[in-house]
Amino acid sequence: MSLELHGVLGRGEFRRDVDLAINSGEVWGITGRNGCGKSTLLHTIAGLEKLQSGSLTVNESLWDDSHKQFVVPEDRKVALVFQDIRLFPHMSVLRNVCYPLRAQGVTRVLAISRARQMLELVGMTSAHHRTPDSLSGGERQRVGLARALVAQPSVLLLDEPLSAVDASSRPGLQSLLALMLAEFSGIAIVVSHDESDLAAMATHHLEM
Amino acid sequence: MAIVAILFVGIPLLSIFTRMPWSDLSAMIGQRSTRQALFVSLETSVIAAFVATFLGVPLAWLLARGSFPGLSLVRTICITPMVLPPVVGGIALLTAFGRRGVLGRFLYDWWGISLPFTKTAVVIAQVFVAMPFLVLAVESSFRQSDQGLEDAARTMGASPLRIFFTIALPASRPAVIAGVALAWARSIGEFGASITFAGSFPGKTQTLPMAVYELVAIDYRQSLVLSMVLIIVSIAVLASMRDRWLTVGAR
Repeated sequence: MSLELHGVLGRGEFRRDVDLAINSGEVWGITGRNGCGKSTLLHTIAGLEKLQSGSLTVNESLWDDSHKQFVVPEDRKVALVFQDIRLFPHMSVLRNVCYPLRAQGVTRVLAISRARQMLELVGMTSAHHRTPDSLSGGERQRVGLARALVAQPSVLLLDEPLSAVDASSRPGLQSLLALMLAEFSGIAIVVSHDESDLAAMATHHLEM
Repeated sequence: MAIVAILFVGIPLLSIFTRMPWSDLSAMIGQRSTRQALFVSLETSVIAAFVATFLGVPLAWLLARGSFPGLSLVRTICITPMVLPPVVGGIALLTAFGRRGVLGRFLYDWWGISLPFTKTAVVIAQVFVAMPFLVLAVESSFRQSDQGLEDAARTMGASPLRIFFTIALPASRPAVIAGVALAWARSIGEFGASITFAGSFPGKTQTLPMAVYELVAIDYRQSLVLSMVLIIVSIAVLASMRDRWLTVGAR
């Protein structure tokens, strides 16, 4: 499985050339100063932004040719953990993690049991019924990670996973991320403004 | 000037209470014609609020999230009944749904359905006038709600319909509740469009405002009692949604 992106990203007035070829099993760490288009890159792969020119091909299928062909986000099976994570505030932690499964047609009972397993894996066993508001930055990131991985995506995109985490919970989250990424069999891209964050998780590195 | 404004609104409202025939109150509310009008009003306005919600919330969603040419024209048309003199609305409904009307002709010729001067006509007139209030309240809430959450749900494979019910609607629940309350209050107070399109037949299409209007000349005290009922209903609606209504914009 592979992802190839050759073309120009854009959002509003912003334009940026990108050339990427990633194989499954690889974890790409992408760094660069603020405003260089790191988030736009992830949003483009997820289908929330369109390519200005060029093409995006994943697994031999053309997702975006910047012209006619465009696969909508809901059909891409890409998991994106946003920089602000975007847990659904009116749902419990457990329902948040169930959401992608339910959206993809998994039955309620099965979704709950898989979500429970996933929450255990990220160390959030006792938080099932808490609301996102009551979680710390690190806990939110863990739940976001569980929600991203629960439906076994082929592409995993993490946007600044360590930015909203306080110093004390940072090492724990960092090793969890490294562990999950090492076990992830698909294509993974982690974006960060801080190169040292990525050293432990990335197999490849790109400076934007 | 502010005090003048307060007195200007407050004195007429309070005057009704000072002239109220308190001693005969229970007898008057117990009167058949009063009970009938009250019942017709409650029945039609509750149904109208339901219909306005089921039609108006999807319309608000379309207006907030849609993007097609002519969208602003659609919004203007849908909101016009709010500023239209209600009598004109009634005439418009007659022209559309009357027995010889643009649509009503087919209803009558094909199924023998004649809408004007029925209880259904009261409901239609109320929906026509009240729905824009709900649509505006809910649309502005949909506009302000966090589209980032909807984007997140899309990347998880959620269909637009699922996103509407699981993300957008729960986030706008306070606005929907406020919109329903507004639409219901507007329905219960509806007069001009209903009396034009549905007439004022006691026990059938005569609502509280119509009864008040007809009683003014015949039995002034009785019309006072009915007016008080309407004032109390209005104030109750305002009081129950005050917090929600004021916080809709600030969320």
